[in-house]
This record gives sequence, C-alpha cells and structure tokens, in this order.
Amino acid sequence: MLSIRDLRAEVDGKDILNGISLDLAAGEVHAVMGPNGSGKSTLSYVLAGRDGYEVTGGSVTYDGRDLFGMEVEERAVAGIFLAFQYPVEIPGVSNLTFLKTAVNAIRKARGETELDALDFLKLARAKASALEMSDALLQRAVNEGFSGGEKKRNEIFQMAMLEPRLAILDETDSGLDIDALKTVADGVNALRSPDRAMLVITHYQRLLDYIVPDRVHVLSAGRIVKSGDAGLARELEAQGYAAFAGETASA
Amino acid sequence: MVATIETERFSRAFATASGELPGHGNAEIARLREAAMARFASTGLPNRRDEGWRYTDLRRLERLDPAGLAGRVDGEAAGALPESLASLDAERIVFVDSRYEAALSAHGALPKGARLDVLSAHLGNGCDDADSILGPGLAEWNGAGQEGLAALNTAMTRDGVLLELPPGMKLDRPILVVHLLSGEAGAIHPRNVLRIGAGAEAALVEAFVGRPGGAGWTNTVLEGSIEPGGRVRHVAMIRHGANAVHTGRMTMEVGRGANYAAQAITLGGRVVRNEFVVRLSGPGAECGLSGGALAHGRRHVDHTTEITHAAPHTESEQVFRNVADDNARTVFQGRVVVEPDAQKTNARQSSRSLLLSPGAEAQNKPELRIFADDVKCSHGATVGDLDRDALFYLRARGIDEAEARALLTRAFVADLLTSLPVEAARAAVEEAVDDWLRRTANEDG
Ligand SMILES: Nc1ncnc2c1ncn2[C@@H]1O[C@H](COP(=O)(O)OP(=O)(O)OP(=O)(O)O)[C@@H](O)[C@H]1O
Ligand SMILES: [Mg+2]
Repeated sequence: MLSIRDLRAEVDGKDILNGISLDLAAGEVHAVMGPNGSGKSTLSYVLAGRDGYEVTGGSVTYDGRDLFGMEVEERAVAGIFLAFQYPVEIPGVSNLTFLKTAVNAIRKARGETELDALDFLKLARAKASALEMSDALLQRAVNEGFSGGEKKRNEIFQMAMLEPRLAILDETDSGLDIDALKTVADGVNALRSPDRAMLVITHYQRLLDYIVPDRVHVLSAGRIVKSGDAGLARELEAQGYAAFAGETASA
Repeated sequence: MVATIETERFSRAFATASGELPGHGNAEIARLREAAMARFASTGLPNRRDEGWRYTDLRRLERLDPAGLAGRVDGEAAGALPESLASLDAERIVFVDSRYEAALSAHGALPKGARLDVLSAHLGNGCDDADSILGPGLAEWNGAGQEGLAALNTAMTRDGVLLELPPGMKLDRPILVVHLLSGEAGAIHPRNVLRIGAGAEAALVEAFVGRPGGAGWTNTVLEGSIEPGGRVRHVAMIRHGANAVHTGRMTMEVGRGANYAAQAITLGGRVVRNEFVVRLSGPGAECGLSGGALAHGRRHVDHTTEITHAAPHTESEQVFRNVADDNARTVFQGRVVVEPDAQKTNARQSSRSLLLSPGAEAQNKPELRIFADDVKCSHGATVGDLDRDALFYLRARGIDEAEARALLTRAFVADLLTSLPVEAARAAVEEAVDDWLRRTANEDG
C-alpha cells in the first residue's frame, strides 16, 4: 500500500530525512520509534504533504500512485490520515462543523452521497461516545483550549469518522492517562482491518502492548537503523536508543 | 471654503428639488433645509486633505448623473425584497429609492404612546418638531471637523423613519428599515431618527441594499438619543451593488445609565464609509460598537468611529474585523475621546484585519485623546493572513483549499456574529456572510 524508497527531505535547508525505505502492506501495523529529533514527525508531515518540508530525493508511492504528485487534500481523500503530534487549535470553527465538512468532502470525492445534518450528528455521537468524548467537546472550537489528552482523543475521533486506509499516528499516546490510552487504543484497534494499514509513531512500549505491531523500525538521525518484530520495542524499552544509534539500516 | 464646481452641482440639484421635498410648504422646514445646504456648500464634499478622510476618496461621486443628484432615481421598481429580510421577524418599513413602499412594508400599530412615523408623512403633515429632526444635531456635531455630508442629507432627505418611545416602553419586536436602491445611478439621502425615552428599549435593523451590479449613492444619517436607563440595539447592514457609493453617519447620544449596542457590517458597494459618532453624555452610559467589512475586487470600505466619554463611569467597547481579498482595501479608524470630567471611564478597542491576497490592503488607526487622568483605555490592532498551520490541518482532513480558506475566514469574523446586537438579524447577516464566502471570483467585480 505504501512504499517509501530512499526518502530524503530537508526543512529550512537542513537535512532531516537521510534515506528512509519502508514498505507497508495492507493489513499491517508498523511502529516507528526513535529519539527526540530523529525525524519521526518530519516523516509524517512529508507523507501528509505539509508546506516547508522539501523532498530532496527518493520516492513514495501510495496504492501505486506517486504521492508527491497529490495535493494535501487529495491524499486525505485517497485515505491517508495523519493524527498530529501537536493538533492545531482553530478558534471560531466548531469541531462538528469542521468534521462535517471533512466527512462530506471525502464522501463527495469518493462518489458517495453527502450526509445531512441529522445523519452526520447521529454518526458523530455514536463514534464520540465509543471514545468517551463529551458532547461539549464536539461543540467547542477545534482543539481550542482542549487539554493535551482531549486533543489526542479528538484526533482519534476524527480518524474514526473519516475511516482512512492509511493512518499515521504521531505520538498519539503521549499526554494520555492510563485509562485514556486504553480507550484510544481500542479505538485504533477497532479500525484495524485487512485493507487498512497503520504507521504508529511512539516512544513507549505501553501503546504497543495494546496495538501490537507487525514490524518495529528504529529511526535515528533521519535513517532507519534497525527493524524487527514486536520484540524489538521491548528491547528498546530495556536498553534505550543509544545501543542502536550506530547500527545501519536493515529494514 | 469657496464653493467648488462640485458643491454648485449640488446646490443646483437642491434648487431643483426643494419645491417638492417633503415638508416644502412648511416655512420652518424650508429654512432648516436651506441653512443645511448653506453649511454643506461652505464645506463641500470631504476630500483626502481633510483629517479623517486620508484613506477614503469620494471622487467617484463626480461621475454621478446630475439629474440623479436631486434624488430622482428612476430605475425599474426594485420589486423583490431579499428573502432573508422579508422573513426577518420585525416591524418592516421599506423605502425604494427613498420613497415609502407600502406594498413591501409590513408594520402594525405600536403600543399607545409610541410613535413610528414615515418621515415624509411626518414632515408633510403640520410637523411641529422639525427642528429636532432637521436641525444640526449630533450628526453634524463635530469632532473631526467635516460634517458636510450630514448637512447635505438634512437639506435633501426625502424619507426614513421617526421612532419615538415614551419612558419605560420596551418594544418586543425589532424595527426593520430597508432602503432599496433600484437605479443604476442617482443619489438618495435616507434619514432615520430615534428618540428613546428613559428606561425604554428598542431594536433597530437598517438594511441598505442595491441591485447586484448597481451604482448610485446612498448618503444616510441616523440621529438618535437615549434618555437615562434606556437601551438601543442596532444593526446596519450594507449590501450595495458593485459600483455603488455609500456614506453613512450613525449618531447616538447616550444618557445616564443608558446603553447603545450597534454593529455595522458591509458586504457590498464600491466605496463605503460608515461612521459611528457616539456621545456618552451621562454617568454610567455604555456603548458597544462592532462591525467590519468583507471586501473583494477593488472595493474600498471604511469604518470610522468616534466615541466621546463626556461623563464619569462611562464604558465603551469596540470590536472591528475586516477581511480584504483581491485588491480590496479596508480601513478602520477608531477614535476615543475622554473629556476632563469623564473620570473612571473604561474604553476598549480591538481591530483586526485579515488579508486574503497579496494585493489586498488594510489600515487600522486607533486614536486615543484622553483629557482625564483616572481612566482605563486599551486597544489592540493586528493585520495578518490566514494561519498556515490551520489551513494545513483542514486540508489534511480532505477539505479543499478554497473551502478551508472560507471556513477560516468565517471563523475570523465569528466575533462579529457573536456580538451581533439584534438576534432577529442573525439569519440575514449569516446569509450575507455566507454569500460573500461562496461568491465566484468574477461575480460583480
Ligand atoms: N522548521 C524547522 N527548522 C529547522 N529545523 C527543524 C524544523 N522543523 C523540524 N526541525 C528539526 O528537524 C529534526 C527532526 O524533527 P522531528 O519533529 O521530525 O523529530 P521527532 O523525531 O518527531 O522528535 P520528537 O520525538 O521530539 O517528536 C529536529 O532536529 C528539529 O529541530
Ligand atoms: Mg515528533
């Protein structure tokens, strides 16, 4: 589904990604771990198409299409979803208005009929209650004044509403309390299916206890320095990243 | 100032029209109109050398058809009232080209003691209070030094409403006054007068509407006063055609413990200038002004306010939001004057401008003139473009760029919708905003 080949990217003239290769097949969940500043969020932004992240080499194909030939919104409509490490606050736009616009934009692009206000609200309420999100949060401006955990929950709520094919979760677990982590992980697992894939960026083994990955990659200085099965995450938890920093890629 | 060619054109137009203006048979009214015309002739149209008019140019008025200056605007009858105004829950009084249009109006009797008169009828029928309607009231009261337009309005006005409430009377429904301009050219000078008794309450919605491609000039005056403890909520919505000029001067004298909440929102017109002139004349008087423009093409929209704190313990708050796209220009000038007696006053002002394209421009000019020492005054002014992170976030959820920009622009003006003083006007204002956001690029330019 997603094929990353020797991807290089820079921000503000600084090389951040230095040749990443990774293949993610439908039905798989891969975890990406790595120290602060190693380029995990940069990778996720490059995949989502954020301005200012300049691709300087390599290629990415998604479902056989050249990802870099697609606008940000085209990627989203094609099923790519990024759960932001730092969700953006948008004062003046209610969470529900925002999501209804997004859901209908995606449905329209897929040739489905748009949801009317009532059907949308029913769907939103159902998904929100599964994630234990209050009505009040739905009515409020997007992420404005949300607590750290509420923002993360809101990301997963959006994911549940948009039903992406490729979900990239950037540290969705950080800022969540233990109960919330379980709720959010359940939300993510509910979306696991043979035709979906997920890239889960995290620092902690705990999330991977709930969302068990098929592969784990260790990113360091913009390269994948080690890949392995779910056991690698436990190794990392025990030893820290230092032990892997020098190794070369073996993805 | 010597009479220029411009003022001569107006004087001739006045001479032509004066024999048939409302109240022409009444010697007092004729005297008031002539005196006003003389005041206008001595100042002329404002120009950019005048303080307060540095950013706004009225030279387009030179192109107006001379016959139209006398107020004979002969377009085909406007006929249709915009649906959002027709369905607004209010006592509705409609003027087409500054003539009362009974067929489009719908107003019932107000409670006994209240008065809601059509101005032309009031002036024509043995009017005995002409001086308080056509005298040089607050509209010509002069902080900035250039009130010729209000004087011209006094000389030439044909119609509008007079609303008078006795002490303690609270109206349930708002009064909606619509001024439609049907023609392609010509000038109208609508005038609305509000006299609100002690403890009385009224809501007024003024709508100035032109045909989509329409031109012409609307030069309007609101003269209002609120006695102690009274309350006025007011919305002025300007939705003219693409080539129209609008100048409006909305004035309110606010007495002890009285409250004036007003919003002027401009969504159409080639050159628009809205002025608020508010005098907080009694202790504890309060006013909240809000407004702004959504402007595109080559439009120019100016909102200028002057609030005078003339008594102690008075409060004012201003919230202005302007959006400019293409090559449009917006202006906000907010002046607050605190007179020596006005101790313990509180004045806040926030003006923000959003520029949607590199060719758009915004001016923000807050101005504090404080002559008392125990006061709290604050202002904040910003000019910016759309938040790039927010734009990315929306697009990353599948919302295309145009729609994402519209959502964020609407959010930018949300403060105006929040502070809208007359709830009944909400649907009409929201519709106007949404129409603007959905406009197609080449629509009435
Ligand atoms: N706009 C920018 N200008 C300069 N450097 C930047 C910019 N954005 C990111 N970087 C740098 O790129 C590197 C990678 O950042 P990135 O956010 O991808 O790290 P990360 O692996 O997600 O870290 P964390 O675990 O802390 O979230 C960092 O050194 C960061 O400082
Ligand atoms: Mg990160």
